[in-house]
Amino acid sequence: MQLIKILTISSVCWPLAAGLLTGLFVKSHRLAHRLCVLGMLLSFLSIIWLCIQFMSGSQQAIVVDLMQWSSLPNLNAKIGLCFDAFAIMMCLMVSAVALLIHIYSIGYMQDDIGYVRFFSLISLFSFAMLFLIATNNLIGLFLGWESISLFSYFLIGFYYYKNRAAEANFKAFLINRFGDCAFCLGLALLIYHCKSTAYADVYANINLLANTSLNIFNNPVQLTTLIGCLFFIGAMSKSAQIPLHIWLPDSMEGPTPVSALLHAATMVTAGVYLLARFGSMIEFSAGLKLVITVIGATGALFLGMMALCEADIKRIIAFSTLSQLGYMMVAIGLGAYHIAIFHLIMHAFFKACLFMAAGSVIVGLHHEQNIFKMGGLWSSMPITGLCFFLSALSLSGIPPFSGFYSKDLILSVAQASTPASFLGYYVYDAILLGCLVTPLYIFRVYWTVFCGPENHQHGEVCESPWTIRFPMTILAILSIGAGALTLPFFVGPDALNIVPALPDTSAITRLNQFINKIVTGGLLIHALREPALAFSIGGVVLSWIIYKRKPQWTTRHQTWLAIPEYILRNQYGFDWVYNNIIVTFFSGCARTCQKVGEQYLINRTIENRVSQNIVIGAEKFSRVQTSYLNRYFAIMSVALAGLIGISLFYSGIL
Amino acid sequence: MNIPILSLILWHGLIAAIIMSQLARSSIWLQKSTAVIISMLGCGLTGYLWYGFIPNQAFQFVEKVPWIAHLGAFYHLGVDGISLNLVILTMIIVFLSILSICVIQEKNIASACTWVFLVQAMSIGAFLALDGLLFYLFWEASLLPMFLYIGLCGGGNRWFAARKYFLFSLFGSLFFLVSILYLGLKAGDFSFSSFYQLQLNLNEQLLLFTAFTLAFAIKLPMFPLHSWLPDAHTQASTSGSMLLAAILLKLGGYGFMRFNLPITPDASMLLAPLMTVLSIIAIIYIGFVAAVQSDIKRLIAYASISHMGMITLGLFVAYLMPGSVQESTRIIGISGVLVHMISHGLSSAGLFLCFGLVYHRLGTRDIKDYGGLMRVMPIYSGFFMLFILSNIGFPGTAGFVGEFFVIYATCAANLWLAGLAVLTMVLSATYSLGLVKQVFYGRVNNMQLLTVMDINWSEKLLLGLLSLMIIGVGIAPDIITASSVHAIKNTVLFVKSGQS
Repeated sequence: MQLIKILTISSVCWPLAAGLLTGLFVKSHRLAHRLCVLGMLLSFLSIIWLCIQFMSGSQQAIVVDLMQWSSLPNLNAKIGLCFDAFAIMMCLMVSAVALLIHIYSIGYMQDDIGYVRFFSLISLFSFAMLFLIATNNLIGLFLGWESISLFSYFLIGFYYYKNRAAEANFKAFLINRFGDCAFCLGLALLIYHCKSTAYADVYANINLLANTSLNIFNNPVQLTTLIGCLFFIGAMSKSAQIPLHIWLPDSMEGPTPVSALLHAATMVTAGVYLLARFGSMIEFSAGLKLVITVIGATGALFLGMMALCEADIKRIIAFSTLSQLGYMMVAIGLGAYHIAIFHLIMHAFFKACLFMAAGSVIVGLHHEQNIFKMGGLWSSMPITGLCFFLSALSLSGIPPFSGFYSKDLILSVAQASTPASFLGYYVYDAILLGCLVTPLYIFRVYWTVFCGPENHQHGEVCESPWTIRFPMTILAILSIGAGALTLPFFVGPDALNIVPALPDTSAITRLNQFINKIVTGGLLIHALREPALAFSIGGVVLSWIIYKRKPQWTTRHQTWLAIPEYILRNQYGFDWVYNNIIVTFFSGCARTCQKVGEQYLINRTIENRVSQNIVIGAEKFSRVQTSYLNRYFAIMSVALAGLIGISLFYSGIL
Repeated sequence: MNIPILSLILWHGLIAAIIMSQLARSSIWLQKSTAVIISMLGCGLTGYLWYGFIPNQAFQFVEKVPWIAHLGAFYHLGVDGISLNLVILTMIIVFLSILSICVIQEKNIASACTWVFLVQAMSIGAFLALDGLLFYLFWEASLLPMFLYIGLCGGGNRWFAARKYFLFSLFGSLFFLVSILYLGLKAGDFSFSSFYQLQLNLNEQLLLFTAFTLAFAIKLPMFPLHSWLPDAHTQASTSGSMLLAAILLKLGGYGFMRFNLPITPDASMLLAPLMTVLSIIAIIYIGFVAAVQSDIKRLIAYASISHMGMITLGLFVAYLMPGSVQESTRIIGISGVLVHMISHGLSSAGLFLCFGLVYHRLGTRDIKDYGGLMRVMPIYSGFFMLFILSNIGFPGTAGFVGEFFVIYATCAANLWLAGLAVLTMVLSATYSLGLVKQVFYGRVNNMQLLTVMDINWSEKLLLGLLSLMIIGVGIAPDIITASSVHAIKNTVLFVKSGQS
């Protein structure tokens, strides 16, 4: 038992120790990456050990208390770690990807002056992410939740001397903070009504919450709906859902390993994780679920389309992340929480691999990010090209790659359980079209960068060092095989236990039976009957025709393509609205407060007037001091007479 | 317990001030070492007090000696959970400002230390006094050393700022004096406990509440009466700003806890909506104002005012809760206020100290003169970032605890109010990280910046101490709350009969 405790703590705390040590004391590059990789490796091994213990044991959650945060009555917060099936699954993914990215960074960051700082920061980030997943307590959750956006802030602004990096990380933090604000309110409400901060108590009180309602504009609103909405706003900002998605493309200012780790595999999926963690609460509110689905589906299609007109390789993959996060949200909104987690984990593998491949290309071309200044790299970078190709297939959902399983399940669930209304059809059609768009944009990159004529001016380009190739290859293997391997965990009879404390509603059971039916009947056979797979394969073929076979096609149709291109280039005007309406409005407010409130009203009108009047009054009053003796005498005698009169009056003589 | 420990702590500052004033002609080294050693001695005394304090009891270490016997005024000292924490905060901040004087200044060390120790003595007197008249004496006396410290050791426009500070505070104190005298005459003596026992009708309570509020709202400062603070902060020296933000503002919050809530509960109940509205205005409006400041010290000062809005919100929201709300929720709200007072003390002192270090090197307060400082002073930037994080209420730092407790309590009272209060998270991030962006990120525009050295070991030590405390309170707020729950339950939320 004691060993398990140590393992549990070490699974989370090694990266913290390594990150702190490196950040505070280490100067040498070699020691820095050795320490951090070691820390991550130890954490990964402990989690594997925990996983084995968990699977072989009674599958009881492993709980360890770390410390008492607050002991006030009704706010008793014991922060600890809790490894249930869900946490172990997520932690395995996070620590594996983080470990690979640590190794990758050794090669990628090689000559950077901020090498040590970089390793310290990504180690600390990995700690924060693992802690966020493994904590058993709402306060710990918020600590992890905010910490990941803080480290994201530091890492986006890693090149602090670049003005654009400074803008991007400020924007990212503020938008995340806006979501955190709603999330914090939701947490306060949840803690207040559950009288506890532990997950276990929250799950136990869900029915109570569902039966309590608050009056908002004289409408009774269920607490589960209210808190669910607040949590969803938090998740929207972190998982970059419309309209809070605009920070993610800009966050590509950070180094590529950061994009791979934070802005593809782990941090941005925290919102999905949060909603799945509290799926039992969201399950109570059909309206909220519909909203989640619609927002997710909109993002899945329209944000993905933005990638079609982008030239920056990293931003293309970032748009793709936005789109994939939309798919996860759709799954959440449809009540298929475990499928969302399945897609989350598969996505982490192939998206991290894509970013790594992109990073490898960027390094090879001396920090060139424009895909039209690359081209023909297949011959000089075969391994990178192969990895990119495989993970792109996985992203497109081509069988038997990992992405196929999760994406096809989401589409099947959507087909089966979207309501037969306009919104229902919209959701299904949007994500179906998304299946066509995904291969279109990602293979556009592939054909342009790796095939076709050489466009770059960098002479001899050679393959990246092994530190870059090795993690990339591992992830490529994972994006081929992980889906088939892990499928049984996500669709078996125990799959519903992944999401803690789901209520036994008929909808959930029906959904799970449906999924079981598809899987036992053969996922591929099912997929062949559905349009989704056809759309995916069609997308690959179409992109081959447009971007490889007949590249002159786009130039020939330039005239009518100009309008959609304009819309997509400007990202549907979201940035414009933010910069010109919201930012202008708030800075206008701030300036008005300063000018009108502080300077005009308080300072000039009130304070200066009061002080002037005091001075004027004192001057007037000083004229009483005329220095004429007779006047003094007159005033004195009148006053004396008055005093005598009053005292006589009160003593009763008069 | 035979040692009169409270008197020792109280008179320590005064004796220290006398010693320091005699050292003006001695060598710098002697001045520095004496000041540091004396201040450490004070911290030791406070440590002894903390060690001997029993959490679940009312006023402890009580000393009561007749002072003006025929008026019923006593030299009456005592400490409970609330004052204990504030005394500890005062001692720590004084120690740090003495250190900062030693680190930053090259001359006039003795005189600066004298003022600092005087401020310490007076504010500790106010925190420890259990007698209304004695409290008033220290409260009023704390004005003078600060006035002189700003006036003598401040920046270019120092006398204007000092006068503004003095006049504002004095204006409030006059009403306070009248109400103390009224209470004293009515109760027969001036001890707090007899004030608490008084049965006052609503009109008396309203008048008293107004008088108290004027005094404390100016000191704190609350929204419409805040304009002296940015001026005072910009003109005060680094250690002056630290003392002002960390200790003297807390006198206002302490006053609200000791006078308004327990003595005039009906009036507090009646006027709670007004006070909460003013608090929300302070949080949001001042948050906006802070975002457009071009002077770094002014920005931090406005941030302080915004945080003080959180404090008054937490205090008065306890009276907005419906009767069904449990007492523990009110206790959490007020505990949050106390923690927020401490954490604001630490983080704002940290920010002023940090800024002082760089002001000492560059001599400009204008944000535009900075930019890209992270390249030149990386370690310094790390510390600054930590204090900023505490300032924006980042979990794991002290700033989060108080803010979260207050928001929690506000949720119990009114959801809309909580929704407005929580906006402080976005606003504070906007102005604080806007400051970070403009000072630390980006290209170096001001070539003078490139000549600056990063902080040395003594400065690291200074900032490191403060950082440790901020993180300590952040991850274990029980240090503060455990000792003060009893006091909050029995004195602050002490509700007299006839109250709901």
